[in-house]
Amino acid sequence: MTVRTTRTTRAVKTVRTTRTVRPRITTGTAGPGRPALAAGALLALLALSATACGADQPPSLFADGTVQVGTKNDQPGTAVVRNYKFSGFDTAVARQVLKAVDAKPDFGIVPSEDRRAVLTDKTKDLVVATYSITVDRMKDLDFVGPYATTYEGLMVRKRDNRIKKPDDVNGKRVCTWPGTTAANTLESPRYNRIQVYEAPDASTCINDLKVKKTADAVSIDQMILYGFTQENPDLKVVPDITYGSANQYGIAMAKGHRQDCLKLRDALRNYLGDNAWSQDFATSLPSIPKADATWETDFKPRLETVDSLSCRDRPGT
Amino acid sequence: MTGPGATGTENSHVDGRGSHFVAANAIRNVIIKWVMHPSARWAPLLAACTGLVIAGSTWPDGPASQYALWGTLAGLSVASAAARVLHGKPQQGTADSRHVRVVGILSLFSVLATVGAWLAFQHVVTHGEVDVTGQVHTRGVQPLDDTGHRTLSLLLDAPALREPRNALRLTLAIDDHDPAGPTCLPDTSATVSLLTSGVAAQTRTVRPGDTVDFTLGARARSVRIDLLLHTAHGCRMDVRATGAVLHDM
Repeated sequence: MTVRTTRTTRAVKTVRTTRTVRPRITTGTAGPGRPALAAGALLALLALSATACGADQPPSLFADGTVQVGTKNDQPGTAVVRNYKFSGFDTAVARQVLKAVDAKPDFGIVPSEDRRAVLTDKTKDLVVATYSITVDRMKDLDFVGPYATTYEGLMVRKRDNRIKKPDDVNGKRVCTWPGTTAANTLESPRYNRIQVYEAPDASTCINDLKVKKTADAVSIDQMILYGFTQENPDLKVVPDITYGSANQYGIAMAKGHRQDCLKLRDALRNYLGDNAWSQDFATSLPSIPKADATWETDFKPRLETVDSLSCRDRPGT
Repeated sequence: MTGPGATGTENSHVDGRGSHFVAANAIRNVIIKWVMHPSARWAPLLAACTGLVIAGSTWPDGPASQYALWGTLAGLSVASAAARVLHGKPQQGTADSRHVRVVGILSLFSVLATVGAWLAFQHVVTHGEVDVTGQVHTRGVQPLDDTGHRTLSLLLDAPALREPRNALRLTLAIDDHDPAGPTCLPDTSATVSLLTSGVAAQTRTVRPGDTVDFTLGARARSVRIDLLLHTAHGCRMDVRATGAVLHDM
């Protein structure tokens, strides 16, 4: 499995089209054909204007039916690769909303810290990778979402009963990884009694907690933590400990595709409005319905929130 | 057949019209004499410029839009006064009465525009909007959250209220304390209550960026507005007044 770094030829096609229709403006002497020349020049000018207007509109991301989607490969439950196939709730959401716009995803792996870059440098069309919507990120990217809502939580070894309430974490080594809002939250002075450290990625944190035992806990969004417990039965999520405010996961895209963004927003609204969301969530993350009786209330976003955060430069109120 | 009585009535009408005509003519002549006097050439421009200087020295601030009428009239008064100054004496062969008419109209127009501008300016001074955004003080610890720190007071002291106005228009920005963290704006609102002595308590609910109007009554000496934040679990928000304008309702 490799990360696809090439871009489709869509942009190249646009340039070629522009070149072929660009009119050549010539000056000539007056003669019998002057009205015809004038009419020709006018038509050429109109064609040039039309081409210029057309060039302002970027081609639809869904035009060729396949959309390059960046996602994770190491988060069981949300996005993971098994036998060269992507699965998890993020990938289910991507498939569902793209199906509504007659497109299908071509998944590629994107680490947390590269999620913004792959969109701005046009390596990917969309990123669906437990990417939280923040005011800062909305300035650079458009989001469709949230498609899920989750608090940051704590995961410990199943037999470790030292951590049951927030104060128990003081003095403990807590692993997280860069590029996440979780790492940002725990850097706050409110949590300065927790020994937070960053590992390169999720897998390293899990290894530190489970095998090396150099970490007492791993902190990231509860939805992701529950996913890890599905493949690591010797780990558990501490139910009564959350940090910060709720993360709102969104489908990210580069700015400049507002029409596509609005189409995906409508698709997401429909997806949230019927049973498909709950079925996909329960299929991908069965550990959550088992642990949380009010899981639909806790993890399913409201449609009003989708309207407030989708396809905007700052949250609507 | 007409009798002497009828003729007498007709004569009295003619006499009445004639006396009115004589009076109007006399006034016209006085105006023309004043307008055409060499010392009156600069008088309208002097009056317009004096008005501008006084307006500039007593400028009450507030949004520019409320000065539109004043600005238009002041501009017209200066322009017409300048035109009157520049309008030279008629050349030989040009009708003198036309010159008198143009100078008279320009002078009259300039004086009327100056008076109108002055009245418009006085209206702004008395009833115009006063921007006091920079004078709003906050009392309370920020950021606010959903548990312990939910309240904040916004205060306007006596110096901010020296221009008597009967209403306050307040715009509140409520932002995520950490813009790099998850946003709480869709789940956030605030209840704001005006608690000022002598004024009936008024309560409004606002969303981030909303504007609310409070009635202040005839003469408020200080204003206190208490704010109670409503937000989701774990959210931390900053509140500030981005607009505070005193005005008359």
